[in-house]
Amino acid sequence: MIAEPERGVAALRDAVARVRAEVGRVIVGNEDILDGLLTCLLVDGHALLEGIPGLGKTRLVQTLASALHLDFSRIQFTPDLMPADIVGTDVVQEDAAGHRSLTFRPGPLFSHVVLADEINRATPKTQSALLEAMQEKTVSVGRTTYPLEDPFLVLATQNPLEMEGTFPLPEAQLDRFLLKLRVRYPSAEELHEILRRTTEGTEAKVTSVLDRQGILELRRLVRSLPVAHAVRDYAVRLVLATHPDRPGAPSSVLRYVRYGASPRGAQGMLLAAKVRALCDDRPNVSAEDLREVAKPALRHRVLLGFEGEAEGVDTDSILDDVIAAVPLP
Amino acid sequence: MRRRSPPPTGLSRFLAQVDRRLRLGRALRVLSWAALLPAVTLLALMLFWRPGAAALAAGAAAAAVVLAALLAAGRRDLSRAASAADRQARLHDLLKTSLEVGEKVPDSPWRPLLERRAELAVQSTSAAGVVSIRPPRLPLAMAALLVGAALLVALLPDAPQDALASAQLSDARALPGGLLDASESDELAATKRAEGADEQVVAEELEGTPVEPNTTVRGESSMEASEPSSREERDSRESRARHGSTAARAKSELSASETAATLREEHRSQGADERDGSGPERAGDERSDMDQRDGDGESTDRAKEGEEGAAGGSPSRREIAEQVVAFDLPSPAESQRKRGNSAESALQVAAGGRRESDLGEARDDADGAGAASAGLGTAPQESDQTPLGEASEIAVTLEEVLLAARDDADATERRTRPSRQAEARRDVPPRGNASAFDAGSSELERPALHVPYPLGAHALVREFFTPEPEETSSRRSTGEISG
Repeated sequence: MIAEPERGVAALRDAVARVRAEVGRVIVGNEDILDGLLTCLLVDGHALLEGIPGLGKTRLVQTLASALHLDFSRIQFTPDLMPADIVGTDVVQEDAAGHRSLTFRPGPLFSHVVLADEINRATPKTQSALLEAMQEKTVSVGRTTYPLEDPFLVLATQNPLEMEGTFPLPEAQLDRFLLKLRVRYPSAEELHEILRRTTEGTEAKVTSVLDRQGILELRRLVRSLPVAHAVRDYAVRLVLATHPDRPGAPSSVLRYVRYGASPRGAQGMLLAAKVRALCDDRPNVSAEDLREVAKPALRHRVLLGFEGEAEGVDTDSILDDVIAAVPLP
Repeated sequence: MRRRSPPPTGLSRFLAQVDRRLRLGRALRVLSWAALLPAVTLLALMLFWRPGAAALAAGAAAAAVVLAALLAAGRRDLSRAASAADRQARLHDLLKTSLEVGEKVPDSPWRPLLERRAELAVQSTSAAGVVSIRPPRLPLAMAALLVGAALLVALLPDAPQDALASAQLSDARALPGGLLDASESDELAATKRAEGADEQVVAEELEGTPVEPNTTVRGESSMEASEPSSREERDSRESRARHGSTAARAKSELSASETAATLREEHRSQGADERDGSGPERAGDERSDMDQRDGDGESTDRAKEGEEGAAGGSPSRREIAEQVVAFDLPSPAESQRKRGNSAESALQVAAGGRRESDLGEARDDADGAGAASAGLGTAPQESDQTPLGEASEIAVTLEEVLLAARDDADATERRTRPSRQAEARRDVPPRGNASAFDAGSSELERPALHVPYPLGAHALVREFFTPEPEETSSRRSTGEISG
């Protein structure tokens, strides 16, 4: 596919269209959220879905997993969930001869698509058990490190309202997510359609339209897409503009932001922009693509200061200021 | 290995052209928006230079039009500009990427696709078509509008200024001595005209100054009829008008004092007439008048005033009262004292060496209830030294004095009564640290009422803790503060 980028671009667009259609049989609306999840799938990233209960976050992830020919597991995060419950543990196993040995029993993390439902309900210890898996795609139990099979995709959900009994994700954990997607409330038409689909007749069945090999090939295609220096420079300037200690930062950044986006944010922004350009049948990344993906890629990486927290400033508004302040290449 | 081939020259030339046009377009955009600044400055200067009502109205209208234009066309223009900018940026990024890949990674599998797309883009459009260097019209239109408004303000006639000045002048004329407002002035003028006085006399009554021939009283004066040639001239005219009104006020006060003297003289001569023999008739008239007063009260008084004014042209009681008010505005306590004293002094004058019974009668007169008795025979005997006419004169004078004193007191009370705001302010408890010092010290409370809280508190604290300069210097001189 690398040898023939033109065919690769067409294959990617076709695959994305098929997944969208298949998920669309169950899920109404939320196209941008689905695009974000597909972006994470195609660039080897993870997504954090934030939204109030009942908006279909879990359902969306389950449907996507069904449309992909991949292993899927769901972990319901609770305060008493232990790291061993998700990564697995060594158990004593006795063979026919009566010999006892420790055998690793993999946890639900050993899947291609892991749904970490209500991730902020688990303790920081359990949340941290995900760090290694998300970044290095390995799991260490005792003295043994087990690799996770590609593609490995963690799709976590969290509820922004019920903060009682929750453990907010630490910045290091948040930084592991490529995109933070905000699930919006459906419109009236979408709600009508949801009611029609879920209260009349039987629900549609989703078939797998994209296998593991196809996903890996598409990932390679995305990574190979060249980016002009000017566009890359624009991404760098966008990220640096979120830092309050940098000259030229907007006033809202200077006032409300404590720490700006990390280099991982710039990586995620550029990769997501590549997927967007390819889905739009363009063999080049434009500054416009970067602007479009800047908010989901950076909103959870901008750390607000005391004044920003006290005034309830939304990071999206700060990023709007950043986008407006940084000139196009 | 693929041989490294140079990038197509047409593409690079096109990219250079696009780059150049992009830069030019950006510069023009910045310049067109920057043109708004001098336009706004020019309009502000014009409004500062000609601060008339019409100029302000023109400025406000221009601002409203600019705002409306911004609201109406701004969004559409901005969205169109944004989409155009996106299109230009996309083309620019494609060309850049294609050229960069051709130069830096010639073996990239993406190079053929990129070059083909770039050439397609070049063929399908031209740089001039894609990259617009036309400056945005909205800021230029707004700047032109603002400049037009500034010119309008500069070219406006001076009529509003003259109208304002004439309004001030007529107001100043309408208040001779500060006693009459415009409606009262009109009323007075109408009364005088009804009496048959000519316009010059009416004007003199109103202004206290003779009016030049061929000029109207309330209309355009000769000063206003001619257009002022400059701002200085206008100012000097206003100043002259102010001086004129002051002179008129002084003159009016002078004429009022003369009128009061005349009135006193008139009363004295009336008393003399009555003493000469016309007393009983006169006393009978006065008695009937006083009966009327007793029965009808104030309305009868006013009707009588009107009759007197219309018949004789002598100053009415109201005018006398106004003149008294103009001469002396006592404080409430003074007024109260004056009220009592005036009644007492009137009684003393009325007694004039008479017996106690006469004094009692005169007191009855002063009360109003016994006024009729003066003419009904309960009063002075034949052997009495005081003639009947003098008694009635005393009664009339006494009532005049009492009425004037009452009017004095009312006017003084109206003048000295605190406004509602002042009363409300008085009710507000002292704020800030003043409450800590409110043990009867009004010196501490007063600034806290009028100074905002932090400033007041700060001032109080500073006042409280800063040593007095004399004290500090005396301590230093005595060596109390040694180190």
